[in-house]
Amino acid sequence: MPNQSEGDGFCFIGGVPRSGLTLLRRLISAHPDILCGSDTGVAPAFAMQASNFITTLGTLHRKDFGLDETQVWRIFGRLAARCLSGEGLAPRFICEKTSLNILVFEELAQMLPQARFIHVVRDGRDVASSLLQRDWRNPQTGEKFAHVANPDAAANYWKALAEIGLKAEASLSAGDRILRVKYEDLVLAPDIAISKIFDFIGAPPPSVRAVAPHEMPVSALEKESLPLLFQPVTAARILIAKHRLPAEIYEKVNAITRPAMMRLGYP
Amino acid sequence: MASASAFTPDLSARSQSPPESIVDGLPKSSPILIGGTPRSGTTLLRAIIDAHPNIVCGPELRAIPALCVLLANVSAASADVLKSQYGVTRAALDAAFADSIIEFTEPLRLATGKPRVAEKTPANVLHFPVLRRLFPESPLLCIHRDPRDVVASLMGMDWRDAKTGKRLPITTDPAAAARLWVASVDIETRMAGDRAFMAIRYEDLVRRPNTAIRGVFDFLKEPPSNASFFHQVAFDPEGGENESSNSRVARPIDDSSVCRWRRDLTPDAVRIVESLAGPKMASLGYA
Repeated sequence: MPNQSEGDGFCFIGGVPRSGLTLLRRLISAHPDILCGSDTGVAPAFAMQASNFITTLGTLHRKDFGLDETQVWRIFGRLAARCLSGEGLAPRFICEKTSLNILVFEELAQMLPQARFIHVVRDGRDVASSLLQRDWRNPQTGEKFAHVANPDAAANYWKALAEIGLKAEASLSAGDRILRVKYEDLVLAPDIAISKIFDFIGAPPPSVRAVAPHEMPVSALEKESLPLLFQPVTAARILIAKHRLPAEIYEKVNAITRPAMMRLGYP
Repeated sequence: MASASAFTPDLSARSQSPPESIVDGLPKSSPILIGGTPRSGTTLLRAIIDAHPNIVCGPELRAIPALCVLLANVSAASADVLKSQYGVTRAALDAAFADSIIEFTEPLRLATGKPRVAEKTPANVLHFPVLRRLFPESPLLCIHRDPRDVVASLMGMDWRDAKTGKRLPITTDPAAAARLWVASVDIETRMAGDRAFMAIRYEDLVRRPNTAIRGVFDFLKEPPSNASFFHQVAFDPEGGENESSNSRVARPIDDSSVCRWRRDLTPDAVRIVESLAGPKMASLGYA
């Protein structure tokens, strides 16, 4: 079982939604030693609470309770690890995929000093195009979220999260704790991409047949990806934005996403 | 009692700590949890308990209510996925959160060398039902006070929202303050059949302290200690952060604040409090 105190054997996956995280989950779940579960939201919730305690109560906890910042991070790290480690299941590696984990990679790294991180990235124009097809609504108002209703907002949403991901990569690159995985590599050469991921996680190459997609339980948040999950991995959606978006909108989205795309190694 | 300025926890003491399983008949994992509406005597109560040689009760940790809310949110949003895909049951989530709460209180307990730990944050009371689920054996103790005196005291507090800088509604609006009192007392009603729950009256504590204090330690299954009847000797008024009652609690117990509402609350405010808290007031003996 992964180490619940230090985080060895835990891997947190994050990235902008619609970047292929569920596809990644499908592919690495095939490994018999890896449990890669659906979005739980545990990591962002715990990381933000830890951060809140440290900011608002840090002095109190240190002075009167003997708890310095590191200890508080580690309490929340152990809590997160335990909330993902079921009895009865004994995987060697536990991966947790929630897109917005990307917001808290740096905090998670302090919570679990040996945990690893996968930053899933995809062409910002294709992500924006996919976001604009979603019917995600604010539960209070019933209105569509701006980033699925408005092309500029979709592009800026991708840009903001991509920049947060790049900052996390810079912060965690020493010690090889973070791996960038491109959606395009996953669909163009999945075997090579997955092999690299298994190596990064520390899992030996699997010797058994991959689990078929329909055997993987999916969460409510993943149901939008269901039609894709049962089909062969395809590269058909690379550069799909150019076909889907009207030219004027495509150009706007292109301009907004270009700087971060270049930093992510897109031509 | 360790003074705040000299606090240097020695975690190597863990290897010399009491045996893991049982301390004085109660599992180590059964912290005493204390709460009540703010301005009801919670700090006085914690000082009395902390003065006992067997129990450490530091200043407000202010962590347990947030952890209870986090547990509720995680359970509501993710319990199904955590169970079906990660094999983590609701009971396992509870156990994980209980252990985290212990991790927050254990360094203080180890540093003082006392066998038992208590934690007082007023809002703990609002989470007593969940805390009972997390800690089946823990003594849960709360203190209540005449809501008119509570509101009179709250109206004088300069407590502000950390983000907006505005005074908290419970310090400016008698209705908001009264509603908080009602919420706390509602919890007391829910806990009524719980054999390890006790509610005490502030008025009893300050008017008949010897009897009230003996009652508390009887509930905690501790032999009474002289030190607890003179809490002000051991009390450190520098402890904690923004603890409004510290200077008062540093003095001997007195009952001068009982019925302060007659002097300090406007008739309108009294009417508001009595209309919101009336039925509960009557059931607790506040005319």
